[in-house]
Amino acid sequence: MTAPRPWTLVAELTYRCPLRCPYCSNPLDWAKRRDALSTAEWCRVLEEAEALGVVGLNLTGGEPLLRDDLEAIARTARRLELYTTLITSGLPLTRERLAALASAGIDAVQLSVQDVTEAGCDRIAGTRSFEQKLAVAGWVKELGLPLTLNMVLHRSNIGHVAEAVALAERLGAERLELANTQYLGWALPNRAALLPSPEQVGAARDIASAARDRLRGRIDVLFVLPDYMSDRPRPCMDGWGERFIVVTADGLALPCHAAHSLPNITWEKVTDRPLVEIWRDSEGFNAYRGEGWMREPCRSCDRRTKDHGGCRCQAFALTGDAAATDPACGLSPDHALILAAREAAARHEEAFLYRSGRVPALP
Amino acid sequence: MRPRREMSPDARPLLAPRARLREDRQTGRTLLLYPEAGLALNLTAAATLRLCDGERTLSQIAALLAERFGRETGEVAAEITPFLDQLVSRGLVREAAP
Repeated sequence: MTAPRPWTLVAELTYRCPLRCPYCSNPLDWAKRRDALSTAEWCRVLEEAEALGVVGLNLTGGEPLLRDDLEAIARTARRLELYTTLITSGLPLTRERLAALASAGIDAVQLSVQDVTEAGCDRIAGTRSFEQKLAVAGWVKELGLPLTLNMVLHRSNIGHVAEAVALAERLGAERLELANTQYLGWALPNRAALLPSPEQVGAARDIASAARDRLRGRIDVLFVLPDYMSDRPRPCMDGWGERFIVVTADGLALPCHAAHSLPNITWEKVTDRPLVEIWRDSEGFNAYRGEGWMREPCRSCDRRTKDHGGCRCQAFALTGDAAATDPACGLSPDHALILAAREAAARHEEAFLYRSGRVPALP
Repeated sequence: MRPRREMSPDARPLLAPRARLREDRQTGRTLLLYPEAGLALNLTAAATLRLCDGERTLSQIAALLAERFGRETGEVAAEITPFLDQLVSRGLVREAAP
C-alpha cells in the first residue's frame, strides 16, 4: 500500500501534568510510562516527520512546559519551518519563559481552561490554576502570539458556553475550541459523571452556532459535537494513518493518542526504527488504513469515506473488537451500548474521579 | 449567517499575524499555514497573498497579477476578491487601516 502524506506531528512530550482533569486523554497507566526520549531524539523525530511531509507540530502532553528542553525542541521546529503550536495548561510558566519560547520557535498557543470561573476551573483541574491561566492569556497577546482557548465540555461546564465565548472575546483569543469530551482515556471510567444530557448539548450547540456567526472573521468558534449524542461517529484523526502521527512520551509512534490501548498490535518505538519506515510499513499504521479492514455495515456505507468507520479505539473499548463499526454510529449493531451509557449517565449522581497515579476501573 | 461583505478595490489587504506562507518542499506549491490547519494554494492564490502587504490596494494587486499572468485586470479582480473575502471571514486576511 502506498502510504499517504502526514501533515501534522503530535508530540506528547511528557505524561506528567500539574492538573488532574478527570477526562485526561493520557493512558490510565501514564504513571508507569517514563519520558523516554532525549532532546536529541525529539529533534530527530521532528526531522524525520518533516522529511515525510509534516508541516504542523503540536507540542503537548501531559504538560509540555514540564520539559526544560522545550526551547531546544522549538528551535529545531523553527529551523524546519514547522508551524508549531504549544498546547498547554499554562502552568508552570512565566512571561520570560513564554517570550523565550516564542523567539525559539513557538508560533501559536492553545491554552486550556476547564471552566469560566476560578471556582469551576480549579475544581475540574483539581488544582489552583485559573488566575495563572488568565495571566498567561495576557502574555500570549502581549507577545503577539495567536491564542486559541480550549474548553473541554462535559456535564459540569456545558451550561457555560456563553460565558466561555465572552471570556474568549475578553482575552482576545482568535480561536475558541468547545470540544465535548471524548470518552477514552480517563473520561471512560468517568463517563457516567461527565456525559451531558442531549438537551444540554443542544442548548450549547445553539449558543456556539450563534457566536460563530456573530464573531466570524474575528474568532473561529469551533463546537465539537459529542459522538455519543450525534448518532454518527466522528471522522477520528481524519482516518487512521492518513494525516497525523502521534509520538508518545514513552517513544511510541501511533496513528492516534489512544492507539496504545489496542491489543494484538506491537507498537514500534522511534528509537528502534526510523519514523519514515514506521509510518509507511509498520503493522500498526497499516492495521486500519484505508477501507480494506472494514466489515458491514461500514463496507458498503456511503459515509465510509467521510467518517472512516469512526474511532477504532472507541470500537475496541466498548465492544472488545477494534475492527467493529464504532458504536457511536446509529447503524452499528452495538449502538445500544451508547444508549445505555446515556441512560446510566442520566441516573448517575456521583462525583468524578480525578486523574491520579492509580489505574481506575472501567465501566 | 451575516451577509458576507465584499472587499473594496481600495482596501489594503494584509495577511493576519497567525497565518504564514511557506513553500512545500514536497510539491513546490505554496502553503498557507495557520493554527491547527493549512491550505495548499494554487498559483494565482499564492501570488495574490504574497502581494498582500497592507500597502498595496486590492486593485493594484489585481493589476500586478494581470500583468504577470497576461490577463485582464477586471477578470483577475473578479477572481481574487471572493478568495480574499473568504480568507477575511476565516480571520486569515485583514484590511490595513486606511
